[in-house]
Amino acid sequence: MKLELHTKPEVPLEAESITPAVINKLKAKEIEKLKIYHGNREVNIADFFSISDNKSELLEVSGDMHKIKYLGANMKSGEIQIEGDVGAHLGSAMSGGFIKVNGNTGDWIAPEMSGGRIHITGNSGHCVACAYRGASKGTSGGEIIIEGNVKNELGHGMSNTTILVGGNTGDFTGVNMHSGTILVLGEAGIRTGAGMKRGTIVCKNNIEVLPTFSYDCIYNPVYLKLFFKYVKENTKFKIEEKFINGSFHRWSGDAIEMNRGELLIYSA
Amino acid sequence: MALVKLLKLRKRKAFMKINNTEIVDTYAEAFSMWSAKVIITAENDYWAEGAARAMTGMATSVIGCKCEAGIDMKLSPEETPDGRPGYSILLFTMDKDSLGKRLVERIGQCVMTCPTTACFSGYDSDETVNVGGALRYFGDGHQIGKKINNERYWRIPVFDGEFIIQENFGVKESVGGGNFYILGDNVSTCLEACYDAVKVMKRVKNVIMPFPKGVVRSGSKVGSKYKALIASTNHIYCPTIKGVVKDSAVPENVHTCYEIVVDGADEKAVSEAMRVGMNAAAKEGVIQITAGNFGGKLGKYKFFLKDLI
Repeated sequence: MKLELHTKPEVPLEAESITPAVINKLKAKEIEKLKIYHGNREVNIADFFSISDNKSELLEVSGDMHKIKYLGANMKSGEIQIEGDVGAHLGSAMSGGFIKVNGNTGDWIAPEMSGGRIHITGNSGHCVACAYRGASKGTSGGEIIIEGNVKNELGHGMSNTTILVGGNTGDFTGVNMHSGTILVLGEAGIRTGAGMKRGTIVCKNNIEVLPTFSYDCIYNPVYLKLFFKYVKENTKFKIEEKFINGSFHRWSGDAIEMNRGELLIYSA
Repeated sequence: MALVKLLKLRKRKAFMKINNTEIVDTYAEAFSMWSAKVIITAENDYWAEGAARAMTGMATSVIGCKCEAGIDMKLSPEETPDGRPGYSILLFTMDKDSLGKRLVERIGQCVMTCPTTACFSGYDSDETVNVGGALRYFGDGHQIGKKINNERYWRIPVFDGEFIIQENFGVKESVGGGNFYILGDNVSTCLEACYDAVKVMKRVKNVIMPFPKGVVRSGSKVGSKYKALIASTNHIYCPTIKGVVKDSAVPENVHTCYEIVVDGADEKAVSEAMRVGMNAAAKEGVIQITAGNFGGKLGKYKFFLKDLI
């Protein structure tokens, strides 16, 4: 099925119903009558999207959707391909399936995600895979690939999630994280890993390490060879041989928490 | 009457020849075992081989070693999960539970202890045993679990960094005890034939020849006159007693016998190894090639020599 935005919403449009599980079992005429929220008003999908049946299981959504929220929310399976920018809460609480965004995304991508995969070819906003305010835990699984840059609080409170960033990250990358892995191939902002309990943050470039982290050693982690092989095979990221076979500084922290997390910083 | 029976036994029916070697019209009887394929990698070949040889040490026969194990293949960095040189090992036991135990023991004592190594499952199988998940406790709470592509790995801190091991190892029902016997006129000719056979058999994937250099001189039969023993020498192939053993299968002109035992991941692999091995072994001075069976009482697999050549 193919959905194309024909009218730009004036206020955010909440499109939780746009998931393969909902769309793929309906005919085009039935999809047109699906309800979405334009601000606080209930409207039909057809008021904003033109729908065509391309006889494919792949759900294609296109247009400038930076004001469209909750695309692919609660998704359990299937695949969405988005052409253009998309707004906040993409893939909220998703537990399976695959969302590919050929464009940029807004803030709060994949909150409460527990499985599945999101691949963003452009940049992302603040609070990607981040715990909601007041919640102690954020995502609990899944994989997020961002080819461009991402802003602050990436992976705040996350567990068992893998996040791969081709560009730079903002401040507080991996703040309060419980477990999982974040790879930053660009520059990371300040206070990386602050309050982390467990988990791994891998940085290709040097970072300012917080004083509550303790230096361990320089070594060649075999785990990273496996991890980089996976990244090379599943993304377009350029992972040079010298990075794969290189040495890394290991820092343990954060001492204000369990002190069981690690920063692995490439040392060349 | 007894003399006729004896002569019949001594002159078993040879249905064809390879070169001048008689191939006896019989079959090798093999049985069901469980196997795991273990990939060992290390910083370089020296250490990978060291771990592989240690792990497959004293693992010739389930009769006395609790498992049978051997090196399947040497692997290039392109063939291993972490891009380092490695070896694939096959380990066989009689049941799935004991396979898990043997893997934990042998990987824990022989691979984790070896500098720079890591250890992965080589089978992509629905049936698994927990190996890394048991060995992780060696980390005394400092171990780290990581999931890559839905597989969990454990990072256990050791003196040179970390020992990486996959949590679950794929296992599958396999074939143990494929075999053929090489009967010749003297030791050196027979050993040369064994050497040539094992050399080509090693090129076959998914098989091991678990005995020293792939060859057994103390082939066994099931049971013994001594009740405590589950196996004893297969006296019918011992040339030194052919004059006194009534059911000896050693022909008059044969003075040496050797056995090559093959364990494989499946029937196809065992068949192929036996086929190339027999063809390589059939040479001047090798009088006869035959195989060991127990009338179908031991195992469910029968490898008829006539079907393999």
